[in-house]
Amino acid sequence: MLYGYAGKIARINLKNRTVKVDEVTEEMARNWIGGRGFIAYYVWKEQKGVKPLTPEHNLYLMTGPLSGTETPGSGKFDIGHLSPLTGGYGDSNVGGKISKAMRDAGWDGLILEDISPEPVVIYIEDDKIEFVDASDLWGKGTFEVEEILKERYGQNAEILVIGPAAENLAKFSMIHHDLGRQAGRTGVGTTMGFKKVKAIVVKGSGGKIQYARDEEFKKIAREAIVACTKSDNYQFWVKYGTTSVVQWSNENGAFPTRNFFTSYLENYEKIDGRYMIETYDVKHKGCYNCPSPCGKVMRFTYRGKEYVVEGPEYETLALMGGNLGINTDVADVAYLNWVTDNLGLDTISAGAVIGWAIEAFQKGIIPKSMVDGRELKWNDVETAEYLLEKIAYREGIGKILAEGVKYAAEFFGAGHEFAMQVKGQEISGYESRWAPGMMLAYATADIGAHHNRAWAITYDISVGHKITPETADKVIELQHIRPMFDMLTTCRLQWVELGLDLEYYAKLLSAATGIDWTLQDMLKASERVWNLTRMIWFRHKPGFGRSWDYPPKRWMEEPVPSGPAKGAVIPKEDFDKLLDDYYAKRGWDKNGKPTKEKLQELGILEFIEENM
Amino acid sequence: MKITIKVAGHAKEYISGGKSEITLDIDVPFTPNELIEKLGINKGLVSAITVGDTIKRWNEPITEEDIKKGITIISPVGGG
Repeated sequence: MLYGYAGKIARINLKNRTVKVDEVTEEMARNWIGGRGFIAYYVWKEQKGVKPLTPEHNLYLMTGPLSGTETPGSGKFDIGHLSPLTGGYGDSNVGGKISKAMRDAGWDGLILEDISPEPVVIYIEDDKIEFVDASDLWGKGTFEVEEILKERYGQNAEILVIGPAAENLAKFSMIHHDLGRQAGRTGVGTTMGFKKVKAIVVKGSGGKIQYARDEEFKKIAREAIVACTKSDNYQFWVKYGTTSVVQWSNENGAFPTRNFFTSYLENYEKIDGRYMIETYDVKHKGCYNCPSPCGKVMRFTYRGKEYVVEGPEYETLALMGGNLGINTDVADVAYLNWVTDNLGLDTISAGAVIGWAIEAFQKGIIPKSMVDGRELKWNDVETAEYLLEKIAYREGIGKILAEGVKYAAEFFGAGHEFAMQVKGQEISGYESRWAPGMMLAYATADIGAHHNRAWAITYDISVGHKITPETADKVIELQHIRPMFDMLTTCRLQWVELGLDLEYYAKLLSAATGIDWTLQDMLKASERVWNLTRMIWFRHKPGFGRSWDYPPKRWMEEPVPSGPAKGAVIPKEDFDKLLDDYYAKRGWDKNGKPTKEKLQELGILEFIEENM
Repeated sequence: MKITIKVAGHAKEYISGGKSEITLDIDVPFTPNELIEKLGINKGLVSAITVGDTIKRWNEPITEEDIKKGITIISPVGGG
């Protein structure tokens, strides 16, 4: 008996319309826990020699043993694959209610194989998995489709949906859920669109999972919830969520501004969270069992029409706001947020790609003839909207931009130095020329540039923005803690924002599974996954290694021109020393490859060698 | 006036050595900027100073009435 898990994963073949059941074994539970751990395990085990967007390319959608339980913030769900954007490992988590529904239906996860001959909705109700024609939905935006499906299947149905961007294989397409949550990064939506899966609908009757020590589990979970609500910044967090970061980020020279050209946006106040909360109708929204809802749903009128959007949260304010030079009003960013969500694109990558395009246009790299004679301008909602539509429908310049900023620079043979990406994924909302730990975090994140693997910027500030002997240690520590939540599939915000003691998670996992987990064991499992995802890159990207672990040249060669971080830059020779230190402390060789000794220590050498 | 300030969020380790409260003597009214200066904290480690759940602007006075509602140093939001 495997406690804490449903014990089964549905392997859905979209071409044959068959469903097989994979057993979740105790070995999987002990070594990989769940969520992104299971995803990495499957990608290594069964995707050798596979290229993204081919029939053999699978999409993995996984819960974890704490998903959908009484654990605070247990409404997370992880989706992963070989990324069509980067070609390497990719995963993305989404908050909401889908993981609860999945576990109520009796599934730990889904594996989508092959390609449906026609657009399809996968309908899951407990053990029943059906393929429903989606030709009437294909082409529609995410908001409309989710509402149609709620109407058809009931308000208690939980839905994952893609937009037109994913149907057209824009490489940074996302999967939308609950009218405002996204699995945004690495093009998970693109893979779903390639498989012609318009949506996945899940309903579950519950009671499918047994917990080893149920009463103890519930008691610990109640204590954890109370601890969250008693946190000294609980009220602040619930009121503002991440929107309050805009002011702090600007004051600390960390706000992406005009394609990361600089790190301070003049007159940023009109896109800060305080202004948003004080000026607009904003309601709070949380995921399943969240005591500290971070979601902010904004209702506003734009060009005479009413809109409702969950957001904009910090990343969107950064990448679709400051990064495009927009400082006129938060409603402008909220509108672009709505457009991007409806088309089904990741706001982070979209903002970085559009920022690149504007700069490339202004430098004469993109000619006017390729943009219908338009001027691409900073601080211009119409410029952004025009490019979003082009990208989503792969029209004109959109055919190039839909491939991501790395490809765009290669296509034009110019603009590489300000193509703000690492390993092919666009950088998220923290300008890092004044934050070496954060720069290292971006450079070494295992899905390409993404902040949520290791947010090291307060460490950087605490040591005066310098590289220290402990900088690499700090990044490594965070790279084990933060992704651990994506294995449990719970939210990390209760820990990082409200100070919930990490020991709670060890107690909860032990009580749920009956396996005696310590926090150190869990962090070791997270380190195991980190090394596995690193090996996935080595296996799938010829020539992968150290040269892939650098930030864009802008960050190593162009001092910040203005604002609090004026003059800041981290030269390559300094970054090289930091990277050397990072590799050494990770037990990797000078090319950044995990050594046999490290893999042996983590208990996965044989698993690696079997599938290399 | 002797006051006790709460410290919240992950930057506690850098601001107050991990402690949740700091007690200090300070003339009232004072602004958040003056509080930070008095405490000798790196302002970059502070996202906001709140009275209850309301952010005080950096040069906005904090009064005796505000002190009764509770003052908290909020860490920067830790990266979504």
